[in-house]
Amino acid sequence: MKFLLNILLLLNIVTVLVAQKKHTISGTITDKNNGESLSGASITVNELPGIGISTNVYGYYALSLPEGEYTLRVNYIGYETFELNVNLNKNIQQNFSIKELATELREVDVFPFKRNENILLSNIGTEKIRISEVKNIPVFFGEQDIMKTISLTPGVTSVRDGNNGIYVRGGNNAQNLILLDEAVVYHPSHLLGFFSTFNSDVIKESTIYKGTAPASYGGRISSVMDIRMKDGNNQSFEVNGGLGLISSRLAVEGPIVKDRGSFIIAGRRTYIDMLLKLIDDPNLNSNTLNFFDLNAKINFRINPKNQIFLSAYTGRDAFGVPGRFGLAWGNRTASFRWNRIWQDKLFSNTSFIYSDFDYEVDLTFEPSEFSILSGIRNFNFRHEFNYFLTENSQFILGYDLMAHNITPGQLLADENAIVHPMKIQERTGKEQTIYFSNEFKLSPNWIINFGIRLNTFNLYGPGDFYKYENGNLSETITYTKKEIVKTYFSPERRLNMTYIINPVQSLKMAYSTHTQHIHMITATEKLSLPVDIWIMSSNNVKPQKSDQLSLGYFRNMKNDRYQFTVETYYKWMHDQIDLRNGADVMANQHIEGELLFGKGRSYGLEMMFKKKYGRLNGWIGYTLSRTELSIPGINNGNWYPARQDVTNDISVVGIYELSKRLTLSATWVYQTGNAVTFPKSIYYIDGEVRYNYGLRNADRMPDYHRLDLGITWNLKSKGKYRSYLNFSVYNAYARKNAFSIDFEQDPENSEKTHAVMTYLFTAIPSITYNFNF
Amino acid sequence: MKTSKRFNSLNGLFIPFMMLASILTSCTEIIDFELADADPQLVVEASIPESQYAEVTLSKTINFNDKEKELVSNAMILLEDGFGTSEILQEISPGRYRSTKIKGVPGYSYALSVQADGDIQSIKSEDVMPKPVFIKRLRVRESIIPEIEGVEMPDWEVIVEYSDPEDEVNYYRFVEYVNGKVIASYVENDKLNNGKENKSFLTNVERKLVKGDTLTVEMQSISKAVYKYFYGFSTINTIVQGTNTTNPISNISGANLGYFSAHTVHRRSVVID
Repeated sequence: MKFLLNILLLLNIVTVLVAQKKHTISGTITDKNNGESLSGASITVNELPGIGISTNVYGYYALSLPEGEYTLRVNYIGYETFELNVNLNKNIQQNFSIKELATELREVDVFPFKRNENILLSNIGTEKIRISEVKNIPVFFGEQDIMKTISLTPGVTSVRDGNNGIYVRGGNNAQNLILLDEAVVYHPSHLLGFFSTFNSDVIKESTIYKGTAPASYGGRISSVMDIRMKDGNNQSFEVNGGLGLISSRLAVEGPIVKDRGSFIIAGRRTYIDMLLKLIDDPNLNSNTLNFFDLNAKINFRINPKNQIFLSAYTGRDAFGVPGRFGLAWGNRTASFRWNRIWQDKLFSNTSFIYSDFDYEVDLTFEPSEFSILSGIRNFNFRHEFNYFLTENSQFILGYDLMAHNITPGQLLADENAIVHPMKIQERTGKEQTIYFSNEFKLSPNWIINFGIRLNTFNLYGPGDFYKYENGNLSETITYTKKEIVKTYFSPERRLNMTYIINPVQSLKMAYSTHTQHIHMITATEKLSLPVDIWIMSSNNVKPQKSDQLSLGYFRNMKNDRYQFTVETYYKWMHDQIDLRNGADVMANQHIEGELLFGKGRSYGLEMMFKKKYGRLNGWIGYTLSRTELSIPGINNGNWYPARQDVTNDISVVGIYELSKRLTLSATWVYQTGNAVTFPKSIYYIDGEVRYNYGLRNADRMPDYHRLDLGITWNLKSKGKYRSYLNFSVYNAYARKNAFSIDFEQDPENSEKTHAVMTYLFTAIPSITYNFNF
Repeated sequence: MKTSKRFNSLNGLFIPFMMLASILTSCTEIIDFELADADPQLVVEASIPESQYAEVTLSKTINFNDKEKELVSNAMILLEDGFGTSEILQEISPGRYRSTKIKGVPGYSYALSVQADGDIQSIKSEDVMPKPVFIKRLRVRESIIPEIEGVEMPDWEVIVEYSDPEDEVNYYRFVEYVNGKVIASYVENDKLNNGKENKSFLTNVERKLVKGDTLTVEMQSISKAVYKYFYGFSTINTIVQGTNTTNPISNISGANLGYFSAHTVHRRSVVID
């Protein structure tokens, strides 16, 4: 693979050398109505077929062309196509503001141009979802949820009811990097996973990379979900909001200085506990059960070359019974970013990022009280250059420094408490990465993107570090502050090749390797309780690694009206982590001694048939896959299906615009049941019935399927005030999807064993009133 | 979630989570479930309590909804203590074997070997009896945890008070009897409360008591291996392992199911009034 990369690099240099005298046209592409930057918009040249470039995540582009007169065309899905004649005889600054299309105009036939970005871009294993595209998808309890929507695409499976996590191409829930404005979100769900932490009012778009992420991203081995907040309307003030049955939202945005700077601030809160207050039971109505989210962002263009962004997020869940216990957990993120255009072709972004997650449990056991605190946080500095070398070649070079800190748990207790106060030692580590990537067109038909990430991880003292033999402590070594305990150097390779057969079909291939140093020991897989245990790579825990090879065929039909994609992948996973049988995870300094290490493999076939435009749009996705693990100590080291092994996964999404006022929508999902272990027989210990379990994950839960329906009814607008009602039914045919299956003895006849299925929902209707002015 | 049944005080850290879980997950139904017949496996329950004769019960696993517990007779069971005394246990009733010489003594180590069903595979185990720890006070009272709609809550709180020795790592098992019948058992260690005057809350949502009932708690000092075995059945382990349900790790080599425990015994009783 290395050899191949060298050749590609050489070829690229040759391309550069033969280039002639050129000028650069550069600028940003934004939405005309609200000034939001548009990432991934394409600029093509009518006179030079095959030449073109896309804007980066900040909406910036630069295109170098030989001197001459050109017609530039700006294309962005769901927006009017814009054309401009330029006489390129010097470097030109050219910003574009383009207008979003009314939905009824999105029918392909009204465009004189091709809509085949999906064929031309080197984007295998990638799904980009703009929140405006999915606002008509049926919602759960009136809340749009970008995580749930992502899970409707092939290769992505939601962990199931009651858990907002996702499995991507056989990776587990803890192997996804979830970023909000570049900051890591460690626990992306609320209320045990029923809601995601991402308030749709403030989210612009989300891109998921299913294991083939560009070199700018790293840190998790399964996927990257890059969620970007809106910048805020820099043209006029705008208020968005929604009133729902259990939660409400409000977002305010507007210009600070028109065209130059704007802000957005958005809040969301549930009020289940306020509803509890209406109940006349004093035991019940004093309990707390709620969550909130608060997002804020400002951006300001200091001058044409410098723009700054400041974004922050905080969200917290609380649950408590007065005098007995209280639970609280939440994420916080903050990012400061500075975009600078050094010269037309050289763009840089510098980010300072902070994020954390913590949880607290307070308990009262008469006569004393004690609390448990735990948390993880990181400081991140990133500096990235985008160099638009020629019309055919673009470089990214970056440096990333990430300082991790984990407070695994501490027990605060007073003298009278039944427990001693204790603190599990904190761990600090630092990741430094230099990354480089180059995307270039070898010919009008070939796009090559290759990259490399050189990652170094250091685990630092102070503290006691341990060695284990078969889970038993064998040696303790004490390190002082800043002393290096362990270093891992992990080079990562990324290669992405696209061959455009013709304007309606292309072949794409990708190979990538990923490394992960922050590991989550999923203590509780059923519900996403906020008590996950985080550890970092150490002398005992090697970094998790993955290699993934994927191939894709992309085909458009009927004048780009229908898009068909088939992708296949094989993923090797190394140094995977699992808990020992009977592991003690509570306040255990020796958690690393409770772990087992092994390997995993996943392979699959993903198909998607999509209709992106027109009154009826949506997609059908199908995934056939297998994911297996082999861990010495489990099933004698033989391969066994991972919990996230889902053989068949179907999702159907349909949105139909009945009239200008009424939009109907439906989604249907079907998934093979998760792999689980059921008992094979029973026996008695001290007179109590016990279950004898067989091989790990040799059994299956019942298949999961669910239909959701939605109606969006646009009410009459009054001046600027627009509003709509959203009715949704989650699980419309009231399928009782098994959440868990447990075995117990019949209380009437203790010799009879029952299988008891727990399910979370039958049909859940909801209504939300949304407004905008 | 059907796991919130029994736990003792420190595991009670999970109470709030389980309450939260059960608020949100209270729909259950009994489903038809077909399980294939499985080969029977030997189950060994062996203990040598302080000042008592050793007792071993041998049985086999049975299929779901099989009525009869299948006991294993005519086995050869050899018990030895660390001082070279050994004896073959007598079968006192089908599947039940007892020593006639050796009685449990704290600090002594014991070795057990079993030959059953003509099996040539050797089944062996060893255990050491820890020092005794005594129940200072046993209290039973009606629960003061507020009721929450839809959440299973214990009606009674049973609190065991004892002094944990500071100079050693201790593992305990509490066996709960109502009117002489075992209803539940709990294990705990002193990881978080070494040397403390301890109050162990034995929380059991299935416990039903009426006036006049006698509630007895037997406190056993057990070895780490036996602790690990019973911990495998505990609610907290069920939660931690999630869907990765497995059999507990037995301290008997050659048999997957069962345990051998040399433990101390101290009992106290309370009559409910």
